[in-house]
Amino acid sequence: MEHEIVHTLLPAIIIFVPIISGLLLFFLADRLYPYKEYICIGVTGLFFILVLSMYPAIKSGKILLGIFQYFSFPLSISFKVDQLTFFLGLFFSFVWFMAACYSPGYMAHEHKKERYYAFFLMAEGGCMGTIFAGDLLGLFLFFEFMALTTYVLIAHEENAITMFAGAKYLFMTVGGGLAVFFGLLTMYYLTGSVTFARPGLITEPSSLATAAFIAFMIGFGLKAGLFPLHVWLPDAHPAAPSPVSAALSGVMLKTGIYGMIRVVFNVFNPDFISKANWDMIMLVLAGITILLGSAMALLQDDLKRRLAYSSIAQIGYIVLGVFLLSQQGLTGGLYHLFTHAFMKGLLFLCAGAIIVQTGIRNISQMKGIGLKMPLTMVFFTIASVTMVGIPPFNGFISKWQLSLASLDAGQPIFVAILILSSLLNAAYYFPIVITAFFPGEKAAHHGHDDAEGHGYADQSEKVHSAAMETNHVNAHHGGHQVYYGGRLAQEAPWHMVVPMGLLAIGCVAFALLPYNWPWELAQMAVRSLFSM
Amino acid sequence: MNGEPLNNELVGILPLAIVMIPFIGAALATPLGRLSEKYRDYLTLTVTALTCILSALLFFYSWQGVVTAKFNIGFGELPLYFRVDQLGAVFNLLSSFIWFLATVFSLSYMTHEKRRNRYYTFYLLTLGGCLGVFLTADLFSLFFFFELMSVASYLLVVHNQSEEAISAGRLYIFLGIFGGLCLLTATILLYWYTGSVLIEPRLEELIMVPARILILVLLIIGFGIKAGMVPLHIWLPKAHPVAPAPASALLSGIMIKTGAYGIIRVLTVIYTPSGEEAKTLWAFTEQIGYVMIWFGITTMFVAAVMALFQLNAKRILAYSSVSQMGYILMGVGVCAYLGLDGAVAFGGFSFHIVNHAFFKAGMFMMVGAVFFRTGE
Repeated sequence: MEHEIVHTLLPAIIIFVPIISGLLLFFLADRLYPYKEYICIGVTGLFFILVLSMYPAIKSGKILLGIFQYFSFPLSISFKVDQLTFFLGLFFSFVWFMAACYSPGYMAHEHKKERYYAFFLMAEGGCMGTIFAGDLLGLFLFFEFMALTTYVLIAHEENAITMFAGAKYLFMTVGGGLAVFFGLLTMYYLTGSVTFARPGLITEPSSLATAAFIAFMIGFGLKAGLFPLHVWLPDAHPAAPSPVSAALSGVMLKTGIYGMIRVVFNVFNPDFISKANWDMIMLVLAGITILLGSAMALLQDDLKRRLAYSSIAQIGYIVLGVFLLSQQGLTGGLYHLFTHAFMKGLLFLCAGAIIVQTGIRNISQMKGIGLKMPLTMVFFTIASVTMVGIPPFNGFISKWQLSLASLDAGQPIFVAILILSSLLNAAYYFPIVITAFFPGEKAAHHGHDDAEGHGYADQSEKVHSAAMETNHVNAHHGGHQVYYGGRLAQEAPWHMVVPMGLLAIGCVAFALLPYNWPWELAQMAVRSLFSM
Repeated sequence: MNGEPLNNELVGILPLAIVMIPFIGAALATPLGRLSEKYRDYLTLTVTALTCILSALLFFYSWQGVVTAKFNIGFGELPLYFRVDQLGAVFNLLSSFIWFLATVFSLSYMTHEKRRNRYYTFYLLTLGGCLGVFLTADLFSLFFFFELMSVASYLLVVHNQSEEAISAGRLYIFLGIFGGLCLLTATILLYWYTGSVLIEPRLEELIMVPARILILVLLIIGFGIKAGMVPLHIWLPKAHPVAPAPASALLSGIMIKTGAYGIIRVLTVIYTPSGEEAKTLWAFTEQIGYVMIWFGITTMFVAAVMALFQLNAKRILAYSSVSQMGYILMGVGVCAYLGLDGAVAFGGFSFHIVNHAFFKAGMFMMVGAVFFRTGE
């Protein structure tokens, strides 16, 4: 398929819109303070619309490319939007937009909001820049930028736990970035080019090529959360504010996978990788990641930690799809990428709604919460059912495709791993939903008794600890007023429920419509990748 | 069975309508119930009556020819495929009629219970899923409705939210999801090896497939869990007693029949040869039938003996259901064993399914009526 290349600065402009807005918001914080939420929501919405506007061009097979040449630096930085990056960019910008709409409600009681919104915008620019970069150098630059801006978001709370998680993340991700840089250097040394214009730049096996591959996998695998470099994830995701967790899990992890896809298809090519048997190593790692993530998730009581381990497992699915090196596998992986962005984004937003409304982070304290926050828990249920892979929700399609692709590749063990992981998914999501809606008689009385002593006291929320003292006086259980952790539990405000609802619709709607738009886009992306 | 397809476009909408009307009813039940309990009851009654009438219509059409309909939804290459032959139409009509009777029963029984809106919503969702199972043409669509039915019926099992109900529900949904995943694995393997998941006589293809025994075992486990085949029946004596009486009637009377329906389709359709000359292939079907006969006999006896020791009326009925499913499964086994002469067995177990649906549903409702009046 011939792809007509359209030279335009649109991708570049799109990336710099959130970055510059974020910088403005940060430096002009005093003047812009009253408008910060509107700026954030407006810019992310604008970004989404701008990405959407590229759809007609992408659909007709064009690629949008913008190249910048700097002084005498031999490499140019380019921004490219092709079928694959459009697919990713569209759904990621939507998830980011939803997280932005959700933020004002969540951040209402927080401190340093201007910093949050500024870096939220800049992080979006960083993530999207990584995806829309047309060559490895641009990807690397935005990769580092994304790492720094997301660090600020992760460490937002500035308490001991959060700073530790942030530090762990920062050191690991900078290390990962350096690994990518090594790969970048090696690639330039071996081939003289770092662009994604043609497939298979490195074609001769050599120890340097192997080193480059390992470096790339370390760098991108760390960002994606692949075993054994996933260790920053279970600390970072719970520590961050929930909309940031949604964006991290939904979008940032996927940039690592995008990097891997580019490495497989553009730096090396699939034949080379399968001849060198590197795909087997990555498949084994993916399998371990899936099982490890699912198993560890079962053991967690902190809801966000459980969701973080679940993300690790789901990333394993996507990496499995990529390294099966077939069209079907990649389609399944890409579709799962989209599905997971929506599902996990929704799950983290629901978790955040529960935290904001009740102060509870631990699943054992969430008995009966579905009765007080029905919409939130219904969305949580929808997302959980999608995760398990029950039709007619989206998750089923990706599991089906990945299973078929594994069989095609002669690796039936992965079908067993996928099915086992689905069972584990059900085992760690359904009990949350069940205890939320069916607390049982005893739990309703204990709901506020054991909430006061546990878990959340060491997170910063000063508002919660003040309210908890009043709980001793106000222990009150009746039909409508149940106190959880000292706060009256009621449904989240509409501006938090609406983004969650839109994501939930996204989880359900596409599989039921005759024309499954993300599916078509994923197939288009895969076809363009394989036909280069 | 008359295999000629019915060439009538309009009739093709019937299977979809039969499935969609309960879904729409389920969506409307809770909002309407918030407004007025009376109107919600009328809605449920109307929905189930309408479904029953449409099922009767479909039954009538199915005697003229097989009704098929295909709907493309966004699952990539897998359409939602309906194919109603006489067996499916009989099950369908049976289920919708008994569901209607159970609805009439529910309207007054549930006045003693709480959370009626939720009950009716999931009641209708389960109806849609259950009927969908009987109307489908391929394993994928069957799986779709089967999972929906399992998840929706969970809400009926845990309805009164007692400790017992929640623990029964936990076992129910765990085994339900596990069974569903077994079915999914079998479907994936079948699709990959043969390129199609249609329910039609395919032993010629399947005999070449190296994983044919694995697929068979997975299908039997998946459907057997739902059917209450020993040793996969363990959820049944816990779940059926704790549900409200009309839901128990439906669980025992109809929903376990979906498992039986699956096993019937597997043994008498998928794993049978389609050609006349393939006499040697029938030997394979005979062997499967023989194994199923023994499972059926075991189920019959084990459950009947267990029933003797129970003191709770509903638990006796639950074990009795398992035992009766043993009769049915043995009949299915005999049908497969006898091969081309298996029509007698086919008639036998079909008739038993119809009878059992009526009398078990009736017994559960009777026990429920006693409970309603006396509290015992």
